[in-house]
Amino acid sequence: MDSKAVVLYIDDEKMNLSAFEILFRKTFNVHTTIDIHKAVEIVREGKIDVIITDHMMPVMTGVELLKNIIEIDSSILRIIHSGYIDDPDIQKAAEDGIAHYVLDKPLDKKLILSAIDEYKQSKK
Amino acid sequence: MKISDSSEKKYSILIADDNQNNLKVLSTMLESLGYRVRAATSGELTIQSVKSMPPDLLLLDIHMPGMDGYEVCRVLKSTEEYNDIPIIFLSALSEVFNKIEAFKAGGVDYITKPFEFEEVSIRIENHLRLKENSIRLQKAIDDLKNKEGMLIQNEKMAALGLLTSGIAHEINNPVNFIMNSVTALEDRINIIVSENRPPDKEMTGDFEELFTNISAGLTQITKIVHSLRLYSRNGSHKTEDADLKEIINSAITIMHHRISYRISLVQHISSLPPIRCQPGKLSQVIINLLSNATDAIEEAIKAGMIEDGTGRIILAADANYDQVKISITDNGAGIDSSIHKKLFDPFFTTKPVGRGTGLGLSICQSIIRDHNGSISIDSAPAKGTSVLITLPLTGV
Repeated sequence: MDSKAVVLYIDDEKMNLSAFEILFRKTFNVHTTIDIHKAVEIVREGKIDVIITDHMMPVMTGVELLKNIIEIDSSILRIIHSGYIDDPDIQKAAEDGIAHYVLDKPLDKKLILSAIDEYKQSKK
Repeated sequence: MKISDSSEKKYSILIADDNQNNLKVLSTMLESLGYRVRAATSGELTIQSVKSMPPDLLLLDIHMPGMDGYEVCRVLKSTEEYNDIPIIFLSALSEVFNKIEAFKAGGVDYITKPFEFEEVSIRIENHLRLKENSIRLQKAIDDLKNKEGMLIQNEKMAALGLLTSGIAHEINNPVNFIMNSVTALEDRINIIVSENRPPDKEMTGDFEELFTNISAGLTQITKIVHSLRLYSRNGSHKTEDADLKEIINSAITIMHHRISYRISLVQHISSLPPIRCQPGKLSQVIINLLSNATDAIEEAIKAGMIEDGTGRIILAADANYDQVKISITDNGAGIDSSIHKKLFDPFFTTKPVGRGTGLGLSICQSIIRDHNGSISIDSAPAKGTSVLITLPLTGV
């Protein structure tokens, strides 16, 4: 992973997607979607290094999505980005290793950069 | 109440009579009973004396030169400040005395001359006691009203406590993308400044999008804050012509985080005329009912009662010529018919400890009654619940 990391960002608020994409466009190769099923499809294409997902979403929670992602490709770095980080489901997901990182909203840019950096190092 | 205790000359009595002899007899009598006594010798002087220092009771002769007793009584009874002073008419047996007119004018009793000490004493004591009791009663009613107001406000704040973390998230979400957008703007402005070049086409597009994000985020936060303010202000004394649609929308905004993820909320709200009401209290009712509907749906989903697993709430509001009907219908767990009668009882609850005080529906009912409306519930287990509110447009 020497070039830019390919990051998939999922949130049910399209302005979160827009702001994230513009903020990290120069740092990562950013894909965003509001649609959980589309997210699964994108992961199936096999190009994603990092997935960052909201938790409380209609259709499926972020934790449920990550469980699906593990089935497809367990090597992807999995991050929950939520305002509900005390939620027992999220806490359990972190303990069980379903999520590698749990990041609070609003986003701390440095935390996300260091998480992805650390992951890159481990892949080398 | 120690009326006859001469050591505390507590009660003051004004005697209005043009007959000096009567005045003397009565004054002596009343003073010996421990009252403070004043006298007036005409209708006009009586009114002046009451105005300068209202007595606790007035003994009023019917026949006086100029203004007669009936007239004095009517004048005092029509003045709010003095209309609670008990007035006992004085009349001689030989006089033409119209009892009906005396009572109609507002007198509470009458005493006939010649005066009998015991009778005068007992009648005065009775009326002073009645007045005292009615003052106490009024105070008790005022206290109760205040307590009810506090109870309603407490329940509202307790309900808000349960909603706080959700509302915090509702605000946090726009804060998240506003902050990301601001950081992204900052990055670009730094480039422009450090490289001393105008923004290129891509940057201009980004600026546009980032500013749109920030502005939309601020609008979202403003809407939430506005809704919270409408809900939490203590509007117990504030009645106004309000837009019911706005009240409903603000309630939905506050409840959004609880409804949005697993429940589809359908609104059928026609154009509604302004309604005379206390907006904060109606908002409390709508939030309470939406909260109950959400709880019932969550319970039904857990119990597998809903076939497709989708909770539904239908919120309808419709006005005809002088009233508005609001209904909130859910496909939640429903209510067993054995407890239908208890639903509006204070402190009756089926929710677990910490989830409800049992005052929700009882307070809803009291608020709706204060608005001269009605509230009813139709429910069947595993089918759902429908709450219907009818309010007159003239409200409170």
